[in-house]
Amino acid sequence: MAGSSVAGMIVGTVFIVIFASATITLIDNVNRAQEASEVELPSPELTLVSADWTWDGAAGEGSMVYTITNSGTETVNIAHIYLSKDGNDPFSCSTLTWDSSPAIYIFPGETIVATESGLDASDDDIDDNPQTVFLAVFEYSLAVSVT
Amino acid sequence: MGDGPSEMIMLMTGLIVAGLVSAVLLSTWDTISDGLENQGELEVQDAKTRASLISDPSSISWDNTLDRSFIYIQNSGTISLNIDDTYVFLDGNAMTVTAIDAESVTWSKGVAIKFQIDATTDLTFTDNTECFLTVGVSSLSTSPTGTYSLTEVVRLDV
Repeated sequence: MAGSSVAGMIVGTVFIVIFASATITLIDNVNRAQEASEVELPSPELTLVSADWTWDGAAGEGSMVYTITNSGTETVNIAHIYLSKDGNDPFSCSTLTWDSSPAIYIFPGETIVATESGLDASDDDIDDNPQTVFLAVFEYSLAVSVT
Repeated sequence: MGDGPSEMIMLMTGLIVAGLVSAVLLSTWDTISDGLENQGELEVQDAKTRASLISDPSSISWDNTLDRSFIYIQNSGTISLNIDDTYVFLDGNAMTVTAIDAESVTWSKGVAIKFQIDATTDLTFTDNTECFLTVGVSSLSTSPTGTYSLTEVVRLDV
């Protein structure tokens, strides 16, 4: 009688341990399944304040001055920001000459100015007077009229 | 003492039944657990896999003669993407996708790739046609493979 009770207790305890272990594993996997909702993707927010075009008739080339403000809460790597004029090939902002050095990142609230010079129709496949500039960085984009 | 053998039989029967039921329950439990684990890993990979169109959607060039266009896609996720696994549909037509100047390039976060997209059949658009552009990408890691697709309305500059 006593022997069978002890045996029953031992077996019951073993079952409890096995089920407890399985439950812990199950809970771990449930938690892992919920990690997808915790993935933080880049969500920059920039404002292309202006794109000012100047044409030098004597030199036969123009320049564009871009003013960009980081209006979001994330620091943005300039190399990840792409600009395009009138639907032409986008180019990384890291190829521009910035008014501040080093200009690798735009911090929240910061405004930076960059100049793209030496633009002409033959070299850059654009009209002499570009009309719009499109800015894209990750899933954020906007366009402004050239002034 | 007289109850001993029947008690032992009852105990053994109970243990066998409990063992069988436990085995079935644990097996089911394990299946559910594995399913959750795999699904969770897949969802995490999918969440990290993102891409965005950085070409101006209001002016996507299209060549009616070559049935060709060029688009730029940026990796806007947090893990590297597989350049060769990119697919594109333009106005519902499957396109042949070729990455330009992408040899030995790792398509990591923030990197933009230029793709040449060619129609497999003759496609003729008029200027300013507005249609849907769908781009699908996959993660470089394959355990498991994250996938993502984006669809945008674009205006074609013919």
